[in-house]
Amino acid sequence: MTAATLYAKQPTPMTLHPVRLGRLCQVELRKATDTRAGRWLLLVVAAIAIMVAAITAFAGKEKGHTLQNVLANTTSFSALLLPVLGVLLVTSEWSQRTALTTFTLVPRRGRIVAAKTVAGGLLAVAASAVCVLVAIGATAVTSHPSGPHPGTWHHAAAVIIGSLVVQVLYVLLGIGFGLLFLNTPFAIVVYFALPTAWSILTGSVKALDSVGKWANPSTAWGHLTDENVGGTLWLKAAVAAAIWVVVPLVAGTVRVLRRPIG
Amino acid sequence: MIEIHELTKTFGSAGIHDVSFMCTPGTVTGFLGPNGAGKSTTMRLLCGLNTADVGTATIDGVPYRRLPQPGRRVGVMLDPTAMHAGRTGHETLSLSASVLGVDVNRVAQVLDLVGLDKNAAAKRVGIYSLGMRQRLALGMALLGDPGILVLDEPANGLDPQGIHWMRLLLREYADRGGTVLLSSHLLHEVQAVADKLVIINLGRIVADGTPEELQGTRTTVVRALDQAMLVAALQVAGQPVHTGADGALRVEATTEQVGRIAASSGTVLTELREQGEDLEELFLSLTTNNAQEVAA
Repeated sequence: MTAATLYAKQPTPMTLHPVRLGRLCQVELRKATDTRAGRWLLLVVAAIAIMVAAITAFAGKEKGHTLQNVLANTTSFSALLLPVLGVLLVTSEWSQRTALTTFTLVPRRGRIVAAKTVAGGLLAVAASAVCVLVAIGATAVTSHPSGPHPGTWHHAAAVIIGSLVVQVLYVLLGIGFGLLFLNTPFAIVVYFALPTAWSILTGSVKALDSVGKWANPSTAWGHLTDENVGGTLWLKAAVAAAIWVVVPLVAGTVRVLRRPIG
Repeated sequence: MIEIHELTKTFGSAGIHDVSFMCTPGTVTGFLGPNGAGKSTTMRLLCGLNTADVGTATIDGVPYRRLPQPGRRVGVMLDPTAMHAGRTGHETLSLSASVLGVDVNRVAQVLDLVGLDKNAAAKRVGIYSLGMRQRLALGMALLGDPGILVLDEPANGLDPQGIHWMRLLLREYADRGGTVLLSSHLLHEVQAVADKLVIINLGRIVADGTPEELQGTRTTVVRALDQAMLVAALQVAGQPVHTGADGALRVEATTEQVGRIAASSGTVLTELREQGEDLEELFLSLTTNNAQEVAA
């Protein structure tokens, strides 16, 4: 206890600016990667991407050795884990009870929600970049020795954009579910169970069949990495995004803003 | 300066009602009450973690949630167990330092200040003892170099040396002009350091004042070789005298006043001491929730 380390200064002037959102995003990214659990999850996403790309490119029929096919498969597996990443970005604050510190330091809770959403989006972009690089690598290595057969690199730009959008949507879905339930196992179980229950319901009731196709995220977003993504497919994806991403994000944010912390 | 004004928050039959008190710069305020009396509820409302039904709580006139950088003004420690078990002590403080925008060197400085060495700081919080978590949480509160500290049960889990160390630290902090609000359910933990005591019971403030004020009127207990002579001298001086069951005289005056009267009358005293209402008894009487209250 020395004079150099323990001050009780005069109150800091009110001219102090609130923490910039950029800094809060940095902190959220650091929180996602500074624990063993967080690092393992990111490593597992990357490992799965590499494995799926390798299997698709080396095994299977030669006409499947196209960037579109490899990337579509890689994306669909990576997308399985990304909602979990999104859920954990939010719910670990409650399961580890760090929300108390987080919201004491930043009482404008909306800023934390915004920072987590942006950080989640950036992690999705990173995951997408890994998938694209791995898919391009695997496709290049396995292309025909006498030169790539026609179609190998067709629709490259479209499928890369589709893959990116799908991965961002899945992380945001996880964040929305996390905010809505503030409980890790519950949010994850609901995320895995609800779309399945939805497709069983809409599949068994004839009248709901078309609704099911429009509103099921795995169906609607799965087509974004297809060979030909038309306007209707984008529209379906947007409808599913409104239901599965926008609604939970908005409702979950309202809940976090109102709920007592700790 | 912390100002809490008519703060009310009900949770069913529990909660706090009409809680008002102030903490001024340069003082340590001990917030006392049994477990469940409403100490934590009040502190959480003060820190914007919950919303009051009625009333206000402000930091230098501003509600906590409107402070642009609250951590630079108010150091808060509400629950030392609420930390990520998977992060090291150093990483836990570094994350907060990043939010606060304070220099990285400040982390090492604060760790040193709260008595966590490099070895301890590099370990994950999951294996920390409660005492180590208390130290880390106090370090978190001090990180932004705030002028105000709000500490909920900071002595919990500390050994006697640790409690003594914290007292010195808080005393020095207040003597430098800082404002401290600390809660406890044990009188002796805060009595030695608090300039002011605020006692809460069943969600209501039941006492608020300096320890001297709370102890109330002091009585002097006195015995003399010739008690009749002393009684006469005291009565001449206009001091009412009562004879206690133990035979000693009780006078509502200071020991100095009684001593002077005795000296001028030439009486030899065999006992002269002050007897105040015991703080411990006062605390117990104010916070005992006996069955009669419920029945009434």
